[in-house]
Amino acid sequence: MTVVLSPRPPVTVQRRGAGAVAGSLKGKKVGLRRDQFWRSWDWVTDEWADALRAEGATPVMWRAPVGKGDKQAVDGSGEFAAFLDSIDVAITGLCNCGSCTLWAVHDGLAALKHDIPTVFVSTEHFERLARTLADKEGFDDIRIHLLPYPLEGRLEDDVRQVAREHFDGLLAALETVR
Amino acid sequence: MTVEAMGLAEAVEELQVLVNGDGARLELIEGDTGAGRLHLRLDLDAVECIDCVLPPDALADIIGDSVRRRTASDIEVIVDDPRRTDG
Amino acid sequence: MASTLSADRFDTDVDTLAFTRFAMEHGWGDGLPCVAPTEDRVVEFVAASGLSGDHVIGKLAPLRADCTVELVAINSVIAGAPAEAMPLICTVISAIAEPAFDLAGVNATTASVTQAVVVNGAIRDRIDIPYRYSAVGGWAGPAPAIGRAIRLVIRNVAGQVSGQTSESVFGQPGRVTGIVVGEWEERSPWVPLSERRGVSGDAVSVFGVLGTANVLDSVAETGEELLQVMGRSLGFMGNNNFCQASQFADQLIAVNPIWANEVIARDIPSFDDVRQIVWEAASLRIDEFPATLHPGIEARGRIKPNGRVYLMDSPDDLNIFVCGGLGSLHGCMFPGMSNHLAVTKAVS
Repeated sequence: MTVVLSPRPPVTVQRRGAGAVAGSLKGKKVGLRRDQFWRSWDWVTDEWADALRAEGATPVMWRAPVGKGDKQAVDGSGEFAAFLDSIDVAITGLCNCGSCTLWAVHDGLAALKHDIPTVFVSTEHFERLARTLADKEGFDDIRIHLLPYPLEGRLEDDVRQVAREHFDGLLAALETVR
Repeated sequence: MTVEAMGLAEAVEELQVLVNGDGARLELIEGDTGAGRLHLRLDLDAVECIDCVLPPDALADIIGDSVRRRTASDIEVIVDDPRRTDG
Repeated sequence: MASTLSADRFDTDVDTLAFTRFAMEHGWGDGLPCVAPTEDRVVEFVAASGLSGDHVIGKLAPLRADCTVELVAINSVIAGAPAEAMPLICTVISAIAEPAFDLAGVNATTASVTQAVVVNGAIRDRIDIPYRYSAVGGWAGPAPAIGRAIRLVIRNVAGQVSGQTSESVFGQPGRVTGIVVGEWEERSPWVPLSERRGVSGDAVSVFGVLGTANVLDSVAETGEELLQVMGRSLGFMGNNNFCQASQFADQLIAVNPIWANEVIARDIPSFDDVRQIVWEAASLRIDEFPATLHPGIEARGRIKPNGRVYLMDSPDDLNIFVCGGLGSLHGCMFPGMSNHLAVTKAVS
């Protein structure tokens, strides 16, 4: 037996952990990535936008053009690039099904690759999928904030109450300083 | 670790995370590391929202990537996905 | 020395048949016999490149992994290429990594595109690149192994796998051994191809081509007629660049030394005029196309006032070089891949 060398590149996915911490939110622009899927996520991000203003931050909403499937539409979106350029911190969601997790993670990883502190928001059911998708890109310890599952199908007032209750946890996931 | 070393059934169980949140299941049809082939079937019977499941191309890509990352070989991964209409 | 190599290591039997089986099982092979890339052999090939093993030549799509000199060396050993071809092979890899080459599209397409490498300069004779008889394929020499090394890099480093990352419907033989051919500069009436493309001396020009096809004219008496035959052959309706989604493409034709000197240059002294004649001939009347193709062609502004659709945007997209045996009678065309540009680089 003799040693031979593989003609393929070694599998060396760079381990990139969780990315930067957010620090103080005062004066910062916090991007909230929405999708086309979940009304509940719109209500949550509405509540969090108000709470972020109270923290001295400026919320910036962006709704992904696709809910599923069309990767080119996402990658080619100048609007998304402008969104990333305009924010200091990113909140991406909602990981609440296979397709929407795929794209919420995709967009969140794009933010991380721009060195933007990012938290991924997932319902409990889809945390493992979100982590698996992020790990594939080398982000082996993303910041995830979990919301209860199911979230969709609840009354609006209930969802907004959940959002308010979870805001402190969201800030903790971002390692913010108040 | 190779797929053979960790056990095909175990490898497939690890992949369930990709679909089971939406109620789908991956079934092992054939695993032949000698022939370099892993054949899976996506069971959507218990899925309520078909559009919620990872899209077919993305699912096949992620499964193939995950399996090949665990192997030193270019194992062929076949996913029978009932959403595909091209056979 | 061997310890500086960073590739993954495997213990195996290096007998050719046993290693070929091992390589196929690991997805490294292409079906032809494989030479075992032992550490000593790879070290020799890295040294022959004149570069360090960890030097990154470029990122190759679709995997976008770093293609190092070491990986090129390993694949070149497996292919059976000569070590002295390493500078040429590395230069070709550098060329296909250029954005203009659009390797992502070339590797993923349903078309049969492969790399055709035209070699200019003294390096042709140093490493025995064929430019005389059967130059495009059939001459016994290292060209098929060099082409195969390039193709193995595309398979193993870029990650082109048929049915997975490549949708190529038919493929072609050049997807195994590539196409590596020299220009018979000494028998050409024109400036060498690479020099016309801005690089003199030892150089490679890499084209994405759909294949090769022979063009016969055994009775022509004038240069004009030969160029008309070449142009009208190249401008066939199924040429990729007549597709309604196509926007631009380099086209490549080879002319034998007898046609080039004794007929074409005799009748048409200016090379620009030569290209102009082929360019005009490589066109079709819009009414020759099926009606279903008209809207797409029209939308791209490709119907000229004279009612013709030209294969190439301008004569500048036509690349002509001289090679082949002295039996004359034949030309060779290499229809070009659409929405892709050829790249020429100096071999250092």
